[in-house]
Amino acid sequence: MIQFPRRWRLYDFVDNDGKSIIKKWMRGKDKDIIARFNQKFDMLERQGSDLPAGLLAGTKFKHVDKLRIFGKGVTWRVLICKGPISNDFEFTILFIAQEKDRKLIPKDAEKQADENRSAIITSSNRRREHERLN
Amino acid sequence: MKDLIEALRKEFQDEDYRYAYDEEFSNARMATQIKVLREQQVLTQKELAEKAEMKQSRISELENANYSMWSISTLRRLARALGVRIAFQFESWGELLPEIEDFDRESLEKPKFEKDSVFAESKVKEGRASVACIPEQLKLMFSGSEDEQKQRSHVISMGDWKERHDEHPHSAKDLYNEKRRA
Repeated sequence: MIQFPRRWRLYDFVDNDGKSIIKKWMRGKDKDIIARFNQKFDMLERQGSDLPAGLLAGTKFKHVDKLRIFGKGVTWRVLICKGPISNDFEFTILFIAQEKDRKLIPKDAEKQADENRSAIITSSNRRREHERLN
Repeated sequence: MKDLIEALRKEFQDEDYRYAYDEEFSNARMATQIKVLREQQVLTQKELAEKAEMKQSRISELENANYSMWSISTLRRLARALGVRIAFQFESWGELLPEIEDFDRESLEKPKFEKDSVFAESKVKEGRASVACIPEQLKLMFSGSEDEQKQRSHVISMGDWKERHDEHPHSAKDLYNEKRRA
């Protein structure tokens, strides 16, 4: 089989200490949850957001989308943006929130995600290539 | 891609992990396949909904990669509306990795019955038999003496089929796959 390069690259926003926010957040989580997150990220990396319909939903911030992951009775929302350096082949994980009664916890999760996106545009070292969760 | 498969081979050693990953993948694949089959047949969600006697909003829900509440009766209705069949069977874990590896639009497309080459009208074209008449022709071609078989070769270009028959068992699946690849 001919091997084509992956079409999309996934990046993680890093905090002030240079640590991946998703990696940090995932620490201590059940294998069941980690598997569900990894599957969605694998799908996004391989197919982008066009083929699997509804993989990404919009938010009130134009450049921020959210990925839905449901596991162990809890809905998680991973806030993601295309790019923001190269919009044609990158996604960056900006923030992780919980969703309850259609509301995000923390309330300002989308705003924080948008601010993180701006921080990456200002300084590209505020992100690094996505590290597989384990 | 190799990296992903290697990672999954390790990660799947954990039972909870592999069941959760498979559940997510299977849900997304089913939803995506409904969308792909609908688009393959150039149907709008509304048109598919009418064929399946559902609401358009229901089709939209079923095509969402996050949908997980599948019912067999709904899938049967959709299969019929799309002219394909729904298969229910248990699979081994080893079969999942190639499915993940091959997941793309092309792998999800399936011909409806009328366009399925296996059921295409039996034709003898340029000395080659169509796949639709294989089982009967094979029985006929390889029965009787060699002379009798040679006499039949004016109807069917037998050399081609005999060669295949000698190479490997002529299961319908092999021949179907061969035809599809061609």
